[in-house]
Amino acid sequence: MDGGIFCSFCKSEAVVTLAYANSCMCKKHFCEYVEKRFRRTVREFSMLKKGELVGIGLSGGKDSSVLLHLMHSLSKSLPLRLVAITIDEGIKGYRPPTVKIARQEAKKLGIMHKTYSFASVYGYSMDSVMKGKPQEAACSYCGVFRRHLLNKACKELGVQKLAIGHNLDDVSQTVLMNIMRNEPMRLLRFGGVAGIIEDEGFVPRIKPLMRIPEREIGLYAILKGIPIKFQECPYAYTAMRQTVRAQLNEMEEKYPGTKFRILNSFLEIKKIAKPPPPKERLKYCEKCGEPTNSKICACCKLVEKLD
Amino acid sequence: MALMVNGKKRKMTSGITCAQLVKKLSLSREECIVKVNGKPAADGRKIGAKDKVDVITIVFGG
Repeated sequence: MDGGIFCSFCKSEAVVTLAYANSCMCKKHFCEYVEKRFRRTVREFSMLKKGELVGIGLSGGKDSSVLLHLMHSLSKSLPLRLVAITIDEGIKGYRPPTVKIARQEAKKLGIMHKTYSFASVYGYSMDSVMKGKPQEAACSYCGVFRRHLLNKACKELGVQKLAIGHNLDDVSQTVLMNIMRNEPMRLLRFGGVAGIIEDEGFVPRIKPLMRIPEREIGLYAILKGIPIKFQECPYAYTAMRQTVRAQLNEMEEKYPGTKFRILNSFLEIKKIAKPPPPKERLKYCEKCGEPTNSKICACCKLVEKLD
Repeated sequence: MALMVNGKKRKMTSGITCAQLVKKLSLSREECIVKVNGKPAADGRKIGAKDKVDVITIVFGG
């Protein structure tokens, strides 16, 4: 092996350098490391209980596909019932290939798979929503519709927990963005198991990949032969998150471990900062019946705006 | 070396490490993976003249 680097734990060739851990790892040790962190995160936040019906938000991208495989493997030792849920936002050229991957991967693992589309539920695809609108509007529509539809789908299917593929990069970006936007209450609702608002209308969301950096999820997918499409959402460049992502990556290169430290600091602060109870009791949307703070939920308001 | 960056041919001198290559391409180490002769490689892996190198961007928004 010319010019090769060895694993810090055995004599095999290294496939990755983990600067924050000051180590290099071969395929075997790296995959075990990712799997251990996933299981440890599930235990740390008591995310799952034996026998639960767990929904997996499966876009068919790298994060959710890796999550699907890890959840499937976990379900062998911790008996769980799994159902994969794909939301088709209706973005031409971007979503159809990943929906196909989602269907194939769920079938391969013998996991029930359901697809819901913006167009069939709300009457608008993201492409039609975006016609004639400023680019920066995309994420606010897409995020509200997706959260609403995932929650609705989970309740329809009797899902008790919804696992989503948010990784360390996503959560560290969210922590910073909430601080930058001066939204401390929203920040305190954030976490491994989302929500301080407990209501039967909300299906709890869990983030078992929150301690795994995005790059490592991509590498794990490559090493495990999980099919993935590396492509960018055509509307994503407009989001503030892109700027935060680039700056955070620059910080991580200069000061390895930054993303972990942001998450850990936030989790420590959360332990001591008790959020005040909600000012008003939760209501249910007069149009769709989903939980909301006002008469009409944010999703139905957006649909009204489009009609 | 034979270098491909996201499926496109590029030119670069050999004798550098994967980390140096990523830097020379003005990419972020956090957003891409370097494969040498078909296998993902560690940052310090030296690239030889006969190596086939693929740089793949794996982190996108959305």
